[in-house]
Amino acid sequence: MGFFRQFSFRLISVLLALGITILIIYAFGVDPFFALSSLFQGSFGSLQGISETIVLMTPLLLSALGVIIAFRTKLINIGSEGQMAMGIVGAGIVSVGAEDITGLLLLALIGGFIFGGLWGGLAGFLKAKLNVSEIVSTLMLNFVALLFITYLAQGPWRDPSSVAAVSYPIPLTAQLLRFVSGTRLHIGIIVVAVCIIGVYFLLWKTTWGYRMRAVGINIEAARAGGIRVGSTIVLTMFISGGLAGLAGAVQLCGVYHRVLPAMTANIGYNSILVALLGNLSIIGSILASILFSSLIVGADTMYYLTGISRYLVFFIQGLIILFVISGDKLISDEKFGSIRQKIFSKVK
Amino acid sequence: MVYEALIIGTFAATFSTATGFLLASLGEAVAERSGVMNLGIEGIMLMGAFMGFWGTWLTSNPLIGIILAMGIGAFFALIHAIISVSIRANQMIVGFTIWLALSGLSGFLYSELVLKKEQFPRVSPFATGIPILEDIEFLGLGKILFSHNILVYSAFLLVPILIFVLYRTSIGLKIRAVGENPKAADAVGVNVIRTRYIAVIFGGIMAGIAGFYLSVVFTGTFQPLMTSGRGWIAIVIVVFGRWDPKKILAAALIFGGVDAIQLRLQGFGFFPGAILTMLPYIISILALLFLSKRQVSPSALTIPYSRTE
Repeated sequence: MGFFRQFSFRLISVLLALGITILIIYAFGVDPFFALSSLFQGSFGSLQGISETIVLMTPLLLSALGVIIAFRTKLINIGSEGQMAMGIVGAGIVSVGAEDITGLLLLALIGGFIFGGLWGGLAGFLKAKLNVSEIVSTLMLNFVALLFITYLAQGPWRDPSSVAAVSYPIPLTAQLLRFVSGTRLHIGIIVVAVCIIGVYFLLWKTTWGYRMRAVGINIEAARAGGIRVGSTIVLTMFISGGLAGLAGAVQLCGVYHRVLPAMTANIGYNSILVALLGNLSIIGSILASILFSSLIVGADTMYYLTGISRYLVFFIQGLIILFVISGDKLISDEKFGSIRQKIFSKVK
Repeated sequence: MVYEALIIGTFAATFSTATGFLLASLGEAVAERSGVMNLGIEGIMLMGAFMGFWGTWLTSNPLIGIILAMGIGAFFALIHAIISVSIRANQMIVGFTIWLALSGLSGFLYSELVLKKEQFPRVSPFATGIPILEDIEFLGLGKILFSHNILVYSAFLLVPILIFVLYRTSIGLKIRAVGENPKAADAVGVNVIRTRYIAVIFGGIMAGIAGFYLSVVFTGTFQPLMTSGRGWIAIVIVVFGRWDPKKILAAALIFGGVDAIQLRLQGFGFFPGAILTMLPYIISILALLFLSKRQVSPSALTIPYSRTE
């Protein structure tokens, strides 16, 4: 399947989704082209916009890397949101309300990775040992983890000096420093870059990665070939959760500097869509995360300029994915060959 | 005196809370029995909640609301069926994506069509309580058993109806056959695709009704994302209930009970609210641990069917 052909089909799918969005916006009495342009103006049209898009891309991509690893091992890990939340807990244990000790940042990031990894590994263990569907377990664990952050922010970690239910702040030595004044751009992008290289290496240049992909392609053949499937599953879920946890740690140390309820802001769930849209490839996920974060960041501007609710953006994202996966199936599945022939013979 | 009211209230709330799960679970069980897993029911419930609320709020007639909710549920279930049954894309991805898309759409529509007109819209309760019977004071039975909305009774009635349909009618047989061994069913002349469509659309209609129940009956209003994971718990309940209506009823009652209890415990202040809210989810994980050894899911669940494979 030629890359160009698949890419152009995906582009058509995205445009179709945008087309439907335009119709919906028009139906509600707003100039759709103004709405969409205000959307992208919000994310690309200013230093603020671009920096915010990058700031959102950072955890999105990190978490998506984790999703890629899991999905490629045929593990439907939809627990990124909760693993991200546990990563925040792990980073927060080290840094919330702590003294200004050097090296705290590294500890926080490691803590985030480990806690997220344990949360994912738990689901992996349940699957490997007890055959519990990872779809259901990661989902339930999401709710538990998200509620746990709420509990921490409202309870033991609560900062009494603040009106809202937020935690104590983290000290400067635990922060991912910002390097462009006037924006929230922080050095967390270095973390992402390192992880991109790391994940690429892991999946394609190590035996662990080989085993993961083998289990993903055909679990029985992998088992017959001598791969210990159970421990591969647990390891995969650990790393996958760890990357999501790292994304949470990055959000804590780089963006919010405190623990807030709902600070994961659906980034975990969105990262799953990003990985899917990116066809479970690293490059694809980078492109998809640019698209998704620009949509989310731009939604605010679109709201201010047109009054259209931010929720529409979730719908747009879902629509895009639906069209893309349908289109993918239509052009690659042999059974649709006869339909394809009819369409292409007319197009020629 | 306070204790009595509390216990009676908890029992009563068990039934009304369980209904929200039960309606969605029964529908999803039928869909999964035919081999299709619809992970999007959380989103379809949200759309049903919105459309049901909107229709009732606009016309002051809950009948309009429930018809709209059923219609929207059928529509999006149809979309799911087209993409996962006919186009044969990965069912779990399709469902998950539909969930995200519809959580956005419902929030958007609410903001455009309702919030812009009224800040705190509400609808009034309807068809609630069985006269005379609901005033029974003995053991509080009147309140516990007879004071519920008609949908609660309908949901419970649906259990024996579904048992009959699934196990004693030809459509029920077709649905089960198509979920266990679609190739054999196809060979005997059952239209696999059409049967799956019917089952999935039924699941969507039920999810729509569940959403309507949540917004119009259970809370009387709509909030974006108000289902709070009930659709997902409904899917878990289907697993616990072994895809069988009787056991699903039991599981739904257990969840309804846990949810009702934790909600009331929140008022006491012994346990932090967030931790209590976790209870239903933790219970479901624990239950998964003990029940997963014997998987009795429909054999063809999540596997798309095609004649040439």
